[in-house]
Amino acid sequence: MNPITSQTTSVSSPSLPLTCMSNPAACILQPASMTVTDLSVFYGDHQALDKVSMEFSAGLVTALIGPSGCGKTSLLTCLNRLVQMVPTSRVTGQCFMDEFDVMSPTTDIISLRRQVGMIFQKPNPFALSISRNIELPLISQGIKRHRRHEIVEEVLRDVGLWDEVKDRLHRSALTLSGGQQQRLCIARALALKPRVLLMDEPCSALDPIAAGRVEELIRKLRSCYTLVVVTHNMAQAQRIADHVGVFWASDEGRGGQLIETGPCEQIFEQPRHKLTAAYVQGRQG
Amino acid sequence: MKQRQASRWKSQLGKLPLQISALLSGLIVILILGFLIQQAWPALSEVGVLRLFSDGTWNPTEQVGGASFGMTAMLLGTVFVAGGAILLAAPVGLAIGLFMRFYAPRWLASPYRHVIQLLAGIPSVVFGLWGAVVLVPLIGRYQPPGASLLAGILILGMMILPTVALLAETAIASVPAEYIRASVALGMTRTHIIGKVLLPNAMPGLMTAVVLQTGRAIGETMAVLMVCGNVVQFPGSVFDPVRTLTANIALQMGFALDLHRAALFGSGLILMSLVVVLVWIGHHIQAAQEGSHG
Repeated sequence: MNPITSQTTSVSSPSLPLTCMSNPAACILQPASMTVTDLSVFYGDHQALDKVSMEFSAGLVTALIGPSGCGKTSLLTCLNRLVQMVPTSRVTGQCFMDEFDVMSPTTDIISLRRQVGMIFQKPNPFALSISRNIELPLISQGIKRHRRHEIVEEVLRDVGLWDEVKDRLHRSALTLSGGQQQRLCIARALALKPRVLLMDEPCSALDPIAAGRVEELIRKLRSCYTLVVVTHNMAQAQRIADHVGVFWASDEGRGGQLIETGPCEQIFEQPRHKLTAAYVQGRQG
Repeated sequence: MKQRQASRWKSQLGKLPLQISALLSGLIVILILGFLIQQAWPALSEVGVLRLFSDGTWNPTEQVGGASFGMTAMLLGTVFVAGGAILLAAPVGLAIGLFMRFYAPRWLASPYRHVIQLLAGIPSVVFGLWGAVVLVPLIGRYQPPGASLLAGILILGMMILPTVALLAETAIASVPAEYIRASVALGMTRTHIIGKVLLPNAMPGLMTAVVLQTGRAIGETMAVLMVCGNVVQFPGSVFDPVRTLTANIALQMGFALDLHRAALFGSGLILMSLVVVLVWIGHHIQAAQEGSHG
């Protein structure tokens, strides 16, 4: 089938697949690119991030790597402005999603967070049933019950959880294994049809097999979503990322800096910065 | 070998004071219950439990035509005053708890919490005094006599409000921060986060607050005695005076003899059963909540 026709048919069809993993050409979502310029983050007097400028290309996976405490998570939480949950936080610089100014005081942050989803290091499903977990944010968005049930099935299929849980949708999400919980959290984020997905070490709390499944999912989500993934696992970054940004804590205590950014192969095979070279080979960090 | 035995002895020795304290507090409950039953026994056996509820009035010293021991009006008085107070204090206390946690600006939250803690420490007799001098005349101006069920509800409500608010805040604060972060990251509105994530998860703690404070409202004597008017009757409206079981005991204990005295202990027994039932209900609500969540 011609990809262009398949796209038009799926747009007009009533029960639209939310995501396009089975057929990338049928993707109806427009992944957005994000750009940050001179972004600095402070928590009280402590500076966590120092003048970072980089671009997250639409539909690609960007991995953020570097030792702990150099501002990778802070950068991530600027992209959906979750950073402002910390009362003492202060952000300077600019952040855009396509042409949309993320940092502007007039920004509707509820709408922003629905477009920029986030997955946390530790799976954090609510202590509710599996289906309720996915429905809750949809209720907040005013989506009707019938449509919600359709979405629950769609997103659970998208993350490969449907066959595992279809008979126990009303059981507590806390009865799932860690890996299943993390995929449920991804499904919950996908249900809002985000354009960007932020992932803060999504596999680090999981066993290798569960981590492998989440990683596989990340590869499937690519091209339908813009993905920004913080990871400490070099091999994983190499497997999933199109672009890589390397962070390092500055010597003057001004927080983390972006020391190098570029295509994945370049970072791992021909790094330009000597710290990058040392870090990716495991000699430093 | 010897050393190990010695350390075992030490740990046993450390356990002993704890065991004794635990045993003592359990023993006190049993002793009080036994004492109440023993003292109330003459009334229970001679008058009968049924008559404590079926007698139309409370007139235990009447010589002509026989004494009557009806406590239903006073029992209802207790239930209405305590129930009204908790209906008033629970929503307002919850609102205060939410305000302290989420809406108060940082410079205000901490001093505000101290004010609430101070309010919780005001002795009940001071509340009663204020009620008798200010609130009762105020109500009396609109609807005499002023000393009424309404005055009791308002004073008791005010008395338990600060503790309800502080317990509610603790319950809200015990909801895992990751739930809040997850719901914020999912673009949920503040109203939905509070209504759908926060309150359901805080519910066991909130129920505990309500049950404990209802128990306190049932047991409160002094303030109620000072503002409720103490007429033994079924209140026709909130402006009618009522007498609670606790007020009745305090009013008559000084001169009660024989059966009358035993009947007062009987009303103490009823009060205690009321609290037991309350705790039981609270426990079951909590268990049902946890069942539906987990």
